[in-house]
Amino acid sequence: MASNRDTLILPSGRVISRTTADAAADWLTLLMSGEAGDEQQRQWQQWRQAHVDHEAAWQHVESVTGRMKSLERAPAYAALSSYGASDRPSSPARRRATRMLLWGGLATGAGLLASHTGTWQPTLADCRSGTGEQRNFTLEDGTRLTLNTDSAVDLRFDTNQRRIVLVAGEIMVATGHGPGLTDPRPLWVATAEGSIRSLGTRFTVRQHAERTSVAVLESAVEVSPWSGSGSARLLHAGERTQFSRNAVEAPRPADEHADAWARGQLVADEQRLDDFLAELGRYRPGVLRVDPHIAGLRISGVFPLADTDRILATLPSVLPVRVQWRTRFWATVVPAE
Amino acid sequence: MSAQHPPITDDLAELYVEHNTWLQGWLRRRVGDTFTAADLAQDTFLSLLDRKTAAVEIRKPRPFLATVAGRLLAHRHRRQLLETAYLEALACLPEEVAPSPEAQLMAVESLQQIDRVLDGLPPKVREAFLLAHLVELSYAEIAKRLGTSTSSVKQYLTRANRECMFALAV
Repeated sequence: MASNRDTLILPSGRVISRTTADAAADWLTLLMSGEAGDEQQRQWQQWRQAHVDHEAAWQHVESVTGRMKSLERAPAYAALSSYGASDRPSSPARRRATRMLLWGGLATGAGLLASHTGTWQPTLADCRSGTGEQRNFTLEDGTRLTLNTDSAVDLRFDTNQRRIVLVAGEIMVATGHGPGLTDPRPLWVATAEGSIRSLGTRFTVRQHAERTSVAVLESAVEVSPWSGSGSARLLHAGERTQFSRNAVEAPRPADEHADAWARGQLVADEQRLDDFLAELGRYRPGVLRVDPHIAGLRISGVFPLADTDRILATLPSVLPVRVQWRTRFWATVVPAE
Repeated sequence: MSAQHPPITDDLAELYVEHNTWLQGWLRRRVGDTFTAADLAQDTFLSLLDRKTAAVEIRKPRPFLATVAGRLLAHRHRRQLLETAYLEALACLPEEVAPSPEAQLMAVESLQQIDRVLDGLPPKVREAFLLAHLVELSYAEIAKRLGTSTSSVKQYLTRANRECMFALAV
């Protein structure tokens, strides 16, 4: 990339100032730190929108980080980092020992990776939602994408495919219908466990810890786990399933309220109280606990997600329970006296 | 790299005719293999096409050619080291996640590029960059590993991201 001290040329040919490039790099440093609060994220978005050069610089930063992410990261790190060690004069045996040492050290890193991705990946994602938030997006091909609470997706659209990468949380996808909205490119949703190919349809996908669940509302999808060769499964309207990296479970009838969240509702039908509260907990910050003695009580109802405090406040009127508040963000549901 | 090569000048042709055999011999003594030496000599002359210095201005052609060829040799050596380290580490991965040979080739090119832009940064800055981008450690974890403070790690990343993000093509 050609450059002098004050300007540089992006691969697209656009000339940007060094100041803009540094600012984009500094946003990356901040976002990667995981310390950026809502206010700083808003400022970052504002900075991007303030000038076309800013957005171009940011797009460049994203494609470079994207390219690094596409590497097999552990081997790439081992190569680049051990290279630094082997650069200094030392015997081949010593070089190898250093390399293995770094490689061993990496195992801890890989473990941390799993817990850490939750913090900075969603920050850099193309579309995201905060806790308690549902957000709607219309994509370039007319597909409507709804993000449930605390969710993030990356969009990878190119000439051959439309790929939606679910980084965290839950989404509903409704593919475009009608004139001008039939796109010949296949549409995929990728999760940590596998991919879901849309066959002209509406469906929801949720990323759990180490599994993905899918429910089809209209038409059909094809579910393929990453490692289970030949275990792809067709899932029709009114069906749901979940899958790991290796296998897809047999389809079961979908809950008719699978997309209730997209309308801002939490629907329970004879649901166990602990399951209900686990669901409710997704939509509010802080801790929500339940006393084991009442975990098996059953609850039914349609609750508005807009005010989760109010849902907790109504519990004593439908069940023999009360809510203990330790702080505003720490509530425990206990038996009524 | 320039979009358009200047035409091969008579000077360069002359340089080639006069010194190619010598350069191949010089390289053969270092790599120990005739074909590699011939390839590298070829690359040396080709790289002169991209230079602004006219061949006629080169007063001492042989030391000059040796310098250019030596740099190419070092690049090649770095690339081999990177490639070996990468492939060794790749062998530790389960088979089903191993990238295709084509993807491996692209990965080695990416590694070479990253290695080049990180060259010249202090070791801790380089390591902080790699740990943050490739291992995705938190700044606190990187600080612990490098025996420094989180705010230093942030400074390292500020420097590395400023210097590298825009030196990397896509």
